[in-house]
Amino acid sequence: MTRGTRRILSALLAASVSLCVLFPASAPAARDIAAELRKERGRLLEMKAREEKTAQELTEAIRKEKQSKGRVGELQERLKRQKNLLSRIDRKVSALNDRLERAEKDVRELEAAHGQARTDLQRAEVVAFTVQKAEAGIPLHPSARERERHFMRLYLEADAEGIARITRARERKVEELSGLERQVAVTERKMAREKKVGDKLLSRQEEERRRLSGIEREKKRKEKELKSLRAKIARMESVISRVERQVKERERRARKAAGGKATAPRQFASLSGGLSAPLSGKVVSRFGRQHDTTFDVTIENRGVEIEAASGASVKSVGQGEVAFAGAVSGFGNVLIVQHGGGLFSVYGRLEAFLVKQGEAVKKGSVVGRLPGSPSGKSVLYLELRAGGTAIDPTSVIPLDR
Amino acid sequence: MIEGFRLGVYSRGATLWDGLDFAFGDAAVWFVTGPPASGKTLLLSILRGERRPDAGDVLVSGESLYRGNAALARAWRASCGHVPEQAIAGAPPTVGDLFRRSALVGGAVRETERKERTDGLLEMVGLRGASAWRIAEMSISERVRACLAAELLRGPKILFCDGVVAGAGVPSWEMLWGLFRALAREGNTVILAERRIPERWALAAGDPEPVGPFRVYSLSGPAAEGKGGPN
Amino acid sequence: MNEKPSLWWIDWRISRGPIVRESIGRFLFFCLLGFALLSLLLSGGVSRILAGRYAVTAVLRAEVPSGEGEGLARKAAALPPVRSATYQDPEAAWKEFLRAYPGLDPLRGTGENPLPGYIEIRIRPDRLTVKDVELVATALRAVPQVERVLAGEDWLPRLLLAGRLASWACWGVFGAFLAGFFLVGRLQERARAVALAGDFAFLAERGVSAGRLAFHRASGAALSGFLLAAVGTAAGGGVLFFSLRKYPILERVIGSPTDLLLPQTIASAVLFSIGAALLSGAASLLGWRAARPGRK
Repeated sequence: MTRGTRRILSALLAASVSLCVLFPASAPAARDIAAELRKERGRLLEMKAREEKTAQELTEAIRKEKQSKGRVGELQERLKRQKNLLSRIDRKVSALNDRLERAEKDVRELEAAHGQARTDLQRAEVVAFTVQKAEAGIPLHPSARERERHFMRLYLEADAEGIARITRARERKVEELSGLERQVAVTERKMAREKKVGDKLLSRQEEERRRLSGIEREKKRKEKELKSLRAKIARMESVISRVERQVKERERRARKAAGGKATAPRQFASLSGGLSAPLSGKVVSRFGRQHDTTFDVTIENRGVEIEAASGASVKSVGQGEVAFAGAVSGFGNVLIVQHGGGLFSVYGRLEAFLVKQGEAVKKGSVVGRLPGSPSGKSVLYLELRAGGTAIDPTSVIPLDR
Repeated sequence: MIEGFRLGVYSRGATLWDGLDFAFGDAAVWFVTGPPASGKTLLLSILRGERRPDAGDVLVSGESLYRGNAALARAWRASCGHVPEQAIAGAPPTVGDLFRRSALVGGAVRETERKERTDGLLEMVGLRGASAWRIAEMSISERVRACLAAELLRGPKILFCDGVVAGAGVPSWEMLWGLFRALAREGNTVILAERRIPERWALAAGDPEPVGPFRVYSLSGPAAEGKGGPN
Repeated sequence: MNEKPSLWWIDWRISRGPIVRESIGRFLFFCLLGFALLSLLLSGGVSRILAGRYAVTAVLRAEVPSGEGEGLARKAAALPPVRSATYQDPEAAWKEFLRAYPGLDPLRGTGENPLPGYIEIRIRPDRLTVKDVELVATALRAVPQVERVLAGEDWLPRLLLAGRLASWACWGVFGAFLAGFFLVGRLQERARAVALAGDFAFLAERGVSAGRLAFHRASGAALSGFLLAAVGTAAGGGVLFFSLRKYPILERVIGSPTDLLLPQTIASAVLFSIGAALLSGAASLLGWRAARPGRK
């Protein structure tokens, strides 16, 4: 709820309270003003309804905008993650390709080494055969020849072992190469898939951005409309204020005519019987200036919101008389109890009234009930007014914060 | 003295002579003549101790040559000088070799003495400066004289000469006559075997003594005594 | 005038020229034979050559360090039949191997030297028998650091047999030369006897018996043969001595020059001279006899 809307609603409540106080048994001169006020009220109501609707639409637009922004942000985040993922995949593919290249190079080198080793082994065998054939017949150094033949056997065995090692290494490398090629294929397919996903996300993001643009345009439009409405309502408020001043003046003159002294408005602290909490619950919205992080606006609360169990009974905070029981836009079912001396307590967002207008209530008597909620929690709006000025209920009533 | 007792020889399947008795005294020249094939050379070989007689014996200074001490017989043979007939067979290449050969037998003849005496002896026999002559190129007379000179190198006490007078030739008879007589005067004995004696020699010797088929002239010293004759 | 003429050196006294020539020839021949005899004695025929070409190889395990290999070589050298034992490290074995197979490229291949070190054991020439070789091989096989012993058991008996045959052949050739000397000597004696027949006949006429003449001639030949053989062998030995000192390859094949001065070598030379004397005397007698078929 925007600041403007709260102000409007607060003004309406104040007007209602004023009306309840001032016109339970009105004179004919007051009927004109009342008629004017009713007319103005009606207009205000209309405007308020429009404003409410516009505010709702704006809220909806803002909500949509927020949603859309959220989606855009989410999509951006997802795109970012997708990009990162694609980068990682790309890096992985590059790394795999590098490894593939190195593995291929290793395989080539091993094959070359294998071929060279085989050639060298064959050449060594030819050399061995040639030398031994040349020395066939009567050897001049038989022992040396025997030793050389034994060493040639060792040499050839070492060569053969070397060839076997190269062969094994080559097989391992070929296996590794196959694995890498499979990995590369898999990764490239994954990359293609992720690219498709990325493209989809891009298109969705684009779509979402377009939608966001539309929502922003709608929001601007609504804001503009709301601004206009507020201007009108402000003008209406000034009218109502003027009327209130007139009423007060008339009241003063009436009291003066009755010979009574003007009595200063009373304070809640001096109320007979004291005050008690309307129900047991936790204050979730405090009185006074509050910063609304959702809409990034500073609003002024004229009352407090108390979260309690859904369907909880609402009690009167003090002794008094039901001055109003009806629906007020933005607050739902509102019950106003006047405690005399310009002290009023306003109970909003009730589901049902358990008292009637004009019925006397005592401190702690049940006057209404909170609505049911799937979450099991409902919120009561409590406002205290003294002499037309809203006061912090927590300063006079022990409420759990 | 050389004595022969009952000497008998069988040759070519027949008895050549038998029962020869004779004596050759020392320091004399004895000339034994006989017809051809009468056994003159054989007699000389028996007397030299070279050939054993088929009968009889030869005494040299009273010692039997064939029935006594063999060493004495060898010594007798080594001490005799012998100039064979014609002196061709087995002749060494040169006259000097003849003298060297002769010196072998005479162990007391030294090399230097031999060389000194060779020329003298050769000159004596009419072969002056012939020490280097080749035997094969010399005449019979020269060979015979060379052999004679070579035998004289050893100074033999007994000198047997077979056909030397005939071989040396008439021109050398005078030289030979003087030589032999000189030898006899020196106490040596010379026994010559010839077919015939030179007349002059025969006149000097006197009548010969018949010894078997031979006639023995003594050219100096006591005459030879001979009995018996050819069979 | 002697009664009995002296027959000593009768041939020399009769005819010097041929004697001188023959003596020179015989001296040179004995130089040669003496050289050959002493060479054969020192080398044992071909034993030294065989011992120089035969060796037992103890191939060590690859992990045996050089110090340990050298220690094993010293222990092997202490075995009785062993003449020398030399340790060769793997580097030396590799170089020797490349020299034997020059077609191999030393830079290629397995990248490391596959050959181990080894100990080369040389057997003494006089102990080169199958039994002694087996003794050495068995002792080496019992050593744990030795991987394999190459002793040529399959061809050693043939080699030794060939060596024996070669030695016999060498001695046979020597004997043939000696026999040749005898035959030639006999022919020479015969020829000389024929040439001097006239002189001998002259002597025979003068009471010199053939037997005595033959005896003196043979004795002279024997004595001259002994002297010529002794001097010739000494000369041949001297040549051999200096040759062995100058040419080390000869020393490896034949033996040490100082072995020439050993008593057994000198005794062998003396025996050879005596044998030569006997042969010379026999040749003289036989030659004399062969020259006298028609003599009385």
